[in-house]
Amino acid sequence: MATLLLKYREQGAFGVAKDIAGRAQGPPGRRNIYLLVDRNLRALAGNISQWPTETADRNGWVDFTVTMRLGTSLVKVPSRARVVSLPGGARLLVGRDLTERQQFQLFIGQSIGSAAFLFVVLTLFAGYFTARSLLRRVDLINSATHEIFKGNLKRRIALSGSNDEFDELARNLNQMLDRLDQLMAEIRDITDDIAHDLRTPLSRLRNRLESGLIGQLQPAGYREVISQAIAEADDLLTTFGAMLDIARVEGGTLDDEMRTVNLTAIVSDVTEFYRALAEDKGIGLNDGSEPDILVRGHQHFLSQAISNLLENAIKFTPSGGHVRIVCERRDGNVHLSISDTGPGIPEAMRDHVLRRFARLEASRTTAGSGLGLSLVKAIADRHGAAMQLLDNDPGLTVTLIFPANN
Amino acid sequence: MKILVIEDDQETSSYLARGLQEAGHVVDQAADGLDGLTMAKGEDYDALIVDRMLPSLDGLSIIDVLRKSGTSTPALILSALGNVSDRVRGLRAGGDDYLTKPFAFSELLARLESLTRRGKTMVAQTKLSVANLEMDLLGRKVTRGDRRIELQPREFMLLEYLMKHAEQVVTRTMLLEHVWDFHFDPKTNVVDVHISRIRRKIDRDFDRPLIHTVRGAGYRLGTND
Repeated sequence: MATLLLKYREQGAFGVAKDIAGRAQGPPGRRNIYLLVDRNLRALAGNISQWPTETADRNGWVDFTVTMRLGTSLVKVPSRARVVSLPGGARLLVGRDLTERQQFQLFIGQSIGSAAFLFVVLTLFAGYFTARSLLRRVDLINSATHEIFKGNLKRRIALSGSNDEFDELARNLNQMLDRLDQLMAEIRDITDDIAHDLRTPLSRLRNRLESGLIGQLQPAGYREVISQAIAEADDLLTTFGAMLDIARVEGGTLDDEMRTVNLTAIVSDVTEFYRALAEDKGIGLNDGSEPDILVRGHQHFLSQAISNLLENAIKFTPSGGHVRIVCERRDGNVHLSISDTGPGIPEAMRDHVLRRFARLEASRTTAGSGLGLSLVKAIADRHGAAMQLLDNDPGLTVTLIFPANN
Repeated sequence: MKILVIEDDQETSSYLARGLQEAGHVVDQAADGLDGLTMAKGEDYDALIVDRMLPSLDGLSIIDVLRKSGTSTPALILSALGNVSDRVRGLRAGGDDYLTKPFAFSELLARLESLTRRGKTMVAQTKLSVANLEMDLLGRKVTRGDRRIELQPREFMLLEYLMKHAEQVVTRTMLLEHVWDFHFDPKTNVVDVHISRIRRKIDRDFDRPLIHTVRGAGYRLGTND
């Protein structure tokens, strides 16, 4: 337009008309529109014949429809043009045929519409099929769990092999079931052990009472029978107490009672408590602990664990032997070791002695419930401590390895 | 003494009543929490024996209500729950001592005696004496007659506990709890070993022994045989 205005100024309407004639070619649909009129709106030059009746907006733009000859037919062409007044009253219109642009807009609009439609349809289909296959797998898990709680405890959930989240869920559930199964088996074993181990003292108690009932005894004799029976009953109660302690440690709410405790101080208190006993038996008892080792733990149960271990060590160490207790930091952990110079435990039997009621045949005749080490094991587990039975050559070393206190 | 037993288990209740009467006490029984509370408030008892689990009102609540209403009758709580936190809860509720079922009757009697005496001699003492045995709590010195007796720190605590409970039966469990703060029973006779050690220091060179073994129960420090 600027060029045209310059031309008008230099060469007048004629120059513009010549220039327009040169420019007004172009493919239909997007050709440029030019019209130069005089002050009476008579066309001087251009490729349309009539000045639009529509009025221009503030910036001089006007939207209108022109009738154009396209080949042999006349078509109405939507257009948009800019009008300027020229010196001398003439007016120039420069615009563009919008047909192609409008067609393009329409095409874009339709394309977006159909694409969106297709997208929605495909999404629905995909969603439906995905949900159906997922639900089928949830159903599989459900039916397996139903079967399990109906009593088929050996049933496991099948994996699809695709290693996705569902397989992981199934795997976790299966592991949980394995663990439960293992616990159930342990409980069965424990029940058997309890039955076996309590029957003997109970029948001893019964026989004692029965012999008191049959025999013709002096009052002092009856007292003797009764006090023996009470002693038997007390032993049984001690055994039950130890079982309850283990249950409490394993299943109970100890976490509220856990706090940072000074393990060195506990070791020292318990060791001092047993020192008199060791000295009476002619056993050396030595505490070589580092000062002020702190662990997170349960004061009373830790005392009890150390007490059980020391008691065992002193019990099995012959006169003239040594028991040594050491609590020290090692590799970032806390090691608590109790070593004796007793007979030790053969390597093959070491796992066995941690079982409930386990007593080595050699020690069947010595007093004890056979629960002492199990309780220590339970207490160690509850503190996240590993329990190791090692050879002290000669004798036994029991080591509890506590994780470092943070 | 006049003792109220609040216990819903008929068997345990009559076992307690029989034993206490045998020991020369007067016993009232309540089988229900609310009845027990009413009786404890209405009458003047020397001691209460309260089971923890009771119908209508549990043992800890009974003691709580009693303490809030200003009744300070010594109370011994009986419970099947024996772990440390239960014990602490029981004592915090205002119970004076806590005994786990099952218990030996001698243990109960000893604790009851200790409870009822405690009320009367709770003055801060700096010196203890039984016959010619004297303990200076501030100077940490022990003498018998004119002889100085050297004790290890723990032996001192053990003797102090025995002297504070002079002429009473003190059980091994009581000693474990109060002298060592151990809340479990060692299977071996360690307490006996400790007792025999201080006995050697206190009694060996004197004609009249002060520490006596009470068969089936525990020990008693005192002048009476």
